[in-house]
Amino acid sequence: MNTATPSPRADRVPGSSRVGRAAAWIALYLALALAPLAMLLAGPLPAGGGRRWDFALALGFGGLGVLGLQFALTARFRRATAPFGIDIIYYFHRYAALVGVALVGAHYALLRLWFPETLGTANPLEAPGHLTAARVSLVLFFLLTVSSLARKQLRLEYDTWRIAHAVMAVSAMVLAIGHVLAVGHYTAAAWRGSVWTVYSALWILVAGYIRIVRPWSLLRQPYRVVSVAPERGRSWTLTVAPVRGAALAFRPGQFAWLSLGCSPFRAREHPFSFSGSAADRTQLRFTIKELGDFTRTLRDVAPGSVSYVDGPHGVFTPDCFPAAPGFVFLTGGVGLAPVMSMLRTLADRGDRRPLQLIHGSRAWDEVLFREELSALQSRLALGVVHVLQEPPPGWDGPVGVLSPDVIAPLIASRAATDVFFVCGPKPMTASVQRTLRSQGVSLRRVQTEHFDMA
Amino acid sequence: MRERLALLLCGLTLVLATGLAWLFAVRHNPRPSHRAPPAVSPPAQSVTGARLFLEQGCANCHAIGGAGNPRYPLDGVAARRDRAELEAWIGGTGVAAGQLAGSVVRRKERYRELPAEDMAALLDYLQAAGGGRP
Ligand SMILES: Cc1cc2nc3c(=O)[nH]c(=O)nc-3n(C[C@H](O)[C@H](O)[C@H](O)COP(=O)(O)OP(=O)(O)OC[C@H]3O[C@@H](n4cnc5c(N)ncnc54)[C@H](O)[C@@H]3O)c2cc1C
Repeated sequence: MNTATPSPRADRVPGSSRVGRAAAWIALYLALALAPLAMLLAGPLPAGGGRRWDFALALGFGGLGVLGLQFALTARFRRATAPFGIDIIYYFHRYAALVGVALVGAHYALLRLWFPETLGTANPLEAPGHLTAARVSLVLFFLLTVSSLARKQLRLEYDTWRIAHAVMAVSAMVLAIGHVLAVGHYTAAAWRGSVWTVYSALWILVAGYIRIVRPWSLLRQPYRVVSVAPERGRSWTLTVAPVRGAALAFRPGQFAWLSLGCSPFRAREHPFSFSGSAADRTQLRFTIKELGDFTRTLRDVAPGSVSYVDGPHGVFTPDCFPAAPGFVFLTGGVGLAPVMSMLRTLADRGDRRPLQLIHGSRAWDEVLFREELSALQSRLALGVVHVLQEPPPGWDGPVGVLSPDVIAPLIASRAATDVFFVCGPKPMTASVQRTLRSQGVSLRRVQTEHFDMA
Repeated sequence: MRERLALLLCGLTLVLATGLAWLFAVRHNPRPSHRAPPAVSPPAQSVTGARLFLEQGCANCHAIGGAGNPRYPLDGVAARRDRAELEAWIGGTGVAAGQLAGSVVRRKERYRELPAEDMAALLDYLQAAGGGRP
């Protein structure tokens, strides 16, 4: 067990209890998502409107339940996300929201198909308010879907998209709830009135928590930029220190949402893995690759700038596997950042378990932390293999990417026992996972972190 | 593997939600729904009435001959209400005002301003479709 670092707030317990918790959270998810339908099924209601009518109607309730829950999914509740890893929660959010939109879309489409007269005119001056609310809500949900799935093709800047996403999501939800309550056939009956009010208020509260409570709590724990130092491979290491007290405690491999030089209320934050040692409570380090609008501005960040750190998040950490006999790290490019944190922390703890790093880079000069990796080999039982796409003359190491023929021989002796950490570009992560599988590594011993979650 | 689980859970949500919606529809409507047969083609004077029924948004909440919101069907309504009562229910006045929710009465206010010949056509249509007392 790790005793060197104080236990961070992210309460994660390794092993089977993690599976138990995951199952419990999934059950709660299903219960909350299906609650509106369950409320329909429970007990007396005014007479039905025929099977088709009630089916179409119930689909709307189902869609609303699923969509309401999306606010909770993206609220970064640590306890709820811990058993899964928050990256996968966002991945899930994308598809779960599609399910919700599909249900709401079917609600409308079936009414349009089976009861076209009911819908009447779409002219908002003529149509009843609750139908106009529903129409606007539907359009917003549609825009949300398109702008999210095709954000890159539409060239929407990330921060702009994100703010628009929040505004549209909250408006669409408020309109949809208004529609349901105004129609009221089934929601007003018996005890349902107040239950519905509470259920709807829940999602508004969660949205308020994300936008107000969480940024506010970050404000109370500001950090200052200590330095921005260049690294190999068009990357920078950003060091921040708490204005007062100790830096937040994290487990090596976890990450945080970072706001630089602006208030946390602006919601201009980006996720980055901690790259420093978790044993160092005086400062936090992040290693960041220049990729786009935000990361390109890093070089201009002045020491002393204020910054806010929302974390720790994630479960990509060897601390979840205290009993593992050894670890293998398969990384590409800046995917090395969380692994650097693991290596530095394990070194500080004096961990002597066998470690193997297989790291892919473009060229020898761009190998992130090249010098420090060789220095770490004297403090750890660490093997390092570099894989280069453009090797220098005389290079006798592996060439290309982390393909099956490169990694299979390197991991064969460890496939049955070690825990594997994979972090890199999407295609690399996918292909390495396939290779590990074909080498007989059980999936429970393969941990991945997705940098590209939005 | 986590991705697989996430997609599986999404699929499960879709199936469960659709299944429960269907279960509700069946349980709440023990007999299969059938659209009432279209009203015997309405007499000439109520063609206008039928058009008004749709245009004026009556179908947002009511159905006749299967057209419109089946929650409050008006087939046969004329057997229960005479012409004066029907007019009160259309405008949300008199006895109807006391029995309808405030928001519904507000919505119905606009029908009090219908031109007399439109109101007459609408009433003709309701009475024809309802097959009731003159
Ligand atoms: C869990 C996690 C850990 C990460 N750790 C690191 C790390 O240690 N080092 C590192 O260099 N990068 C890391 N990243 C990636 C990093 O967050 C993005 O590269 C960065 O946000 C890009 O911002 P940009 O505006 O410069 O680039 P853009 O060119 O504007 O964006 C490039 C892409 O990055 C993603 N992105 C941009 N902004 C955000 C945001 N606010 N939130 C989420 N995704 C965003 C989008 O998919 C976008 O299309 C991590 C990402 C995740 C999810």
